[in-house]
Amino acid sequence: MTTREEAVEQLRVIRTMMERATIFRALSGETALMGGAAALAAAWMSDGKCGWSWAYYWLIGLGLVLIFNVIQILRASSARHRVFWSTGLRTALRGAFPSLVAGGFLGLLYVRIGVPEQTKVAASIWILNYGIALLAIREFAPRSMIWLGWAFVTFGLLCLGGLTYLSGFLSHTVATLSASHLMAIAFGGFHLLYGGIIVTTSRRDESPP
Amino acid sequence: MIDFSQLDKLIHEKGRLSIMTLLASRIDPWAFQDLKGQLDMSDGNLITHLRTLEKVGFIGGEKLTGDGRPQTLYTLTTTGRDAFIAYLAILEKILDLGK
Repeated sequence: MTTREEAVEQLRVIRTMMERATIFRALSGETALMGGAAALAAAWMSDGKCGWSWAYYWLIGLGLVLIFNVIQILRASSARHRVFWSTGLRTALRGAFPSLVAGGFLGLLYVRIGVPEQTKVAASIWILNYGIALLAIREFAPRSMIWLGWAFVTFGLLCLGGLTYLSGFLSHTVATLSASHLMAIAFGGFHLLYGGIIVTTSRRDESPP
Repeated sequence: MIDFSQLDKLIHEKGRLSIMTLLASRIDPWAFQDLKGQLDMSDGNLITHLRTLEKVGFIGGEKLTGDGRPQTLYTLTTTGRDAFIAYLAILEKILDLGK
């Protein structure tokens, strides 16, 4: 290796490390726990409903969790004497926004049809697109969030596969579950698991984002 | 002509270069576990590199005890920052030479 090649290699190491240091936890452990609990509550209240009367509970739950997350980010940034509208937050939003908007809109189109089967499709699309949004910011996210993203994507694809009769076993399993059950498993279960792991394993003075 | 001997051999090693870069990337201190999370190194390897850098005064470690798990927070010292900047300057010169 020539001296120049060696210098290039050293600069590559520096660049990789600088990129890693800009990691931004867009979803704190506390928000995930709160989101998981809100999802279970929404699933309980919306079970047996479909269409807009089903989506109503989920949209309210989403609103509450978003407000909670904003308060969490504000608290963390003020404790660290940093600006709220940080580079990390901007980058995370820029990456996740397209998938969230597309998935949200597409899901609402299915909600609008107002029948249970199509409501399940809406739930599956939301699950899948939320996972894609998390993976879209993977370069700036901690590893745990990448795993969470993959869990949502895998589950969302399995649900859609089951709904489109991709396999008999999958279709049978998805058929026994309602849209609320699917949402409870993903947004409730996965978030509670993720939040529990983050809260119990992070160092005590770690501020979320 | 560039005097290649100016390249700080302590920083030049990839593991220590990675540590120095992470510490230089932000003002806040880095906990041992956070550094370990970003670097593909064993505990023993990381401790050895941290001790080497600490011994020459490039980094400082502060042990925190109290509620919860005890932890060590690491920061780059002024000497370390100057050495890192000087190292980068030499790398830049090497690259300019090849243009």
